[in-house]
Amino acid sequence: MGTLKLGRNRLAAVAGALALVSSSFILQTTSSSAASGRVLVIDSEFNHKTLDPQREFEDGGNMMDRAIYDTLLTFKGNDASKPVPSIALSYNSNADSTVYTFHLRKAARFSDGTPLTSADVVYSYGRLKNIQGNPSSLMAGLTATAPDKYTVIITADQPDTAVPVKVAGPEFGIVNSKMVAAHGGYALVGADTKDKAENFLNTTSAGSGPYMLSKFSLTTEVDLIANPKYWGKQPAYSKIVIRNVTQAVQALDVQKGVANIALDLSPKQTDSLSGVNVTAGVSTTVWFLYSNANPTISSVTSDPNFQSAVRYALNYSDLTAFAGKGSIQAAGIIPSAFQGSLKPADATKQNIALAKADLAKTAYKGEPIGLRYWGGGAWEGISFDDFATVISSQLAAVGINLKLEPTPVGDALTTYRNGTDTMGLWFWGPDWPDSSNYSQNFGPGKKVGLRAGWAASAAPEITKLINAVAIESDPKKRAAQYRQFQLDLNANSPFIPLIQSPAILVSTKSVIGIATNPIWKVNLTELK
Amino acid sequence: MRKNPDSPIRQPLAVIGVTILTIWILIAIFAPLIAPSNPIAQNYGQLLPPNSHNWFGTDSVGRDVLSRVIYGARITLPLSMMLVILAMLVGTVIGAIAGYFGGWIDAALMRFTDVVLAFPGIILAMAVAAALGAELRNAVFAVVLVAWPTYARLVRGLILSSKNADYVTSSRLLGASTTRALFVDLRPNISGPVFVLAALEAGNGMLLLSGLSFLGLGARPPSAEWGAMVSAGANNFDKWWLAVFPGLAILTAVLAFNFLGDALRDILDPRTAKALRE
Repeated sequence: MGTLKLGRNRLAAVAGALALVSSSFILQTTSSSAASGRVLVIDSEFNHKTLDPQREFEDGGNMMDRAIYDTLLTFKGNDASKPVPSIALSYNSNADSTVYTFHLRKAARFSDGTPLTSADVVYSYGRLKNIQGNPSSLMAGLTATAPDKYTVIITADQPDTAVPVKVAGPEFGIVNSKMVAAHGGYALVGADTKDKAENFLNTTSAGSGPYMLSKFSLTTEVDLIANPKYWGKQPAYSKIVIRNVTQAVQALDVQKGVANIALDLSPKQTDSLSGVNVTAGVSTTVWFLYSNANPTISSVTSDPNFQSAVRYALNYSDLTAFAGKGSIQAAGIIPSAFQGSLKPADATKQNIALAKADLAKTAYKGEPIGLRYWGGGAWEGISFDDFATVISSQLAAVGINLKLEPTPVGDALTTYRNGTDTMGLWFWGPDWPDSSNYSQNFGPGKKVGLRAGWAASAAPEITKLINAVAIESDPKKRAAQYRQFQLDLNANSPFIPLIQSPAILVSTKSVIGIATNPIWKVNLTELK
Repeated sequence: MRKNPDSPIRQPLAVIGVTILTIWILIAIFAPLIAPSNPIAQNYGQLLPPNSHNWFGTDSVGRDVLSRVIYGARITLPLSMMLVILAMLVGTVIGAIAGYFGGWIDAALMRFTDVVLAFPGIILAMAVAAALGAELRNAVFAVVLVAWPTYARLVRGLILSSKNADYVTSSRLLGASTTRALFVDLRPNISGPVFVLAALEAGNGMLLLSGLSFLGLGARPPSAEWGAMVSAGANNFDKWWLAVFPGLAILTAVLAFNFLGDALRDILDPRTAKALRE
């Protein structure tokens, strides 16, 4: 899973109750702070594990770090396809997309007043690469150098057209190298053991963004305050309070005005709200089912006929109806907003007769097949329990007997990542907004492919296609290759793309400029 | 002053308890005949409020809540009774051994009992259920694990107060074995209070079991289990019917067990009965 909610609902329930109790205090805080500046209260189901930009890899952390740390390039509003200048005023690349040169602005300052230079960029990127944390793969094959104080060159081992969108991600947030190094930071090879700056970065801002961290928690509340030394225009809110609150309480809070923004409501939950703004769209989160292709895990799920039976047994229109307004069927594993995504006409359609015929070719005799998922979890308003229940019911209609295995997220992720589950229900949010994120993860022998027991040697044609698209610099050819990659996946792979979830943001009328973004959900710095 | 407290007729709460429990048992037995639809079939619109077709409304995947409440009785009632019986058996055996043999056996068993009692019940049950995995079977085991010490302490006390009684000593002098002393001579004296405790604890057991399901550590989807249904309702505050009806089912069943336990105590516990007569 690319971006995964790790906060437990049960813990969030407690936090939600506390949030209700403390709502009056928040209101008081809001009104008292209003004299010096506006306070924004956001309800969210926490999933961040850290705010160290080079370690965080969840969208909750993305949202917070986007406000604290600047990047070379960034995105505006809900458009995550076109990087725009941020610390880098401009950039250019060579013809085969192996060398990128970024020209930095000279006015940028960290929150302690230190000038931001290319040395900080190189340090941050080196730390990202060498820490070997969750997002380190983003720097795989890339090397950053600084020929002068305000120029950064990124060299790729092989053509990589995704570099501009990658460096816009919060994982590429630029830290104050001197400050971080003074507090245990290490950016060279060996940083995986020598870097000790995470705790420091969870308590102190070392960025140049519009906000600074003033309170940190993984379970209750994160507070951001405006950076008085920000090099750009001061943000509209002097303080942002982000609280860990369950979906149900979020609906109450935003309706009452206790919270200004609710991040995790489902379309159905918004139906009963009034007097609020609902921003609805299609998320880039793709939900998928997989049927483990490793015969040692299951001789049944690894049978391509069984995988095909599952694929054709599902009623995709009912799945999108279940997910609610805004949801669409995922025609392929690459979401609709990205280059090379499949058209709705290419999507798999339910065919019960074909599903039964394929199932009859297998040795399956109706025994229960375990479907592992995050028990009690929800993402973008979709409950894993409910979704799995609907899928189970649809597959039962053709004779596939699923045994639902709701599992606490930590344990579920462990077995998922170990590739030991017979079937799994998960979602994938883009680590970087480019189709390469999918070809580099969902192929045979790739990260998610291996989780689904899909060995590198399983589909040589698809592997060949993945290797070809990785070095293709012509956008049209790349798009065609991505389409073919997905058609191949839909025809013969352990993956069954299900839906793209709806993207719903609910805000009070006072909040202006809110837009959903696939990387950081909301750009806090754009809010008015 | 009550003249005949042994008569259930004189105890309206007992009658209410027995009636409610009987109704629930009948509902559980005849669920397939009573329920309007299959409890796991997604036949209706999602989150429909109570209406003429779905008297208790529908849930988030379009299942009939009434049918699920009815079928929920088939899970919750038998499992509650099973866990009470298991806890009673385990606790009675341990308490009897500790009380009868005394010495280091008593000390060891009672310190172990104290250790279990020292944990808050729900926390220990959660830890056990979480460690074993989310399954009703594991939840029942977890509840038994936290419920037996109450029986053990009660039985130990009863055995200690009776084991040196003349009738027991006489029986041993006549050559009765330890087993005979425990099962023939002492059992009649402890069975009454143990049954009373079991009836009173049945409600607690049901609450604990439902609590584990509420926390996602009991029933697996798509099982119709009352605690899990209340949990689903808690995620949709404005859809009141999701939590209210299974909640009422738990409330009435627990209340019935408590009324029944009180009545049994009045009947089987001579000291309470005597106090009532006075």
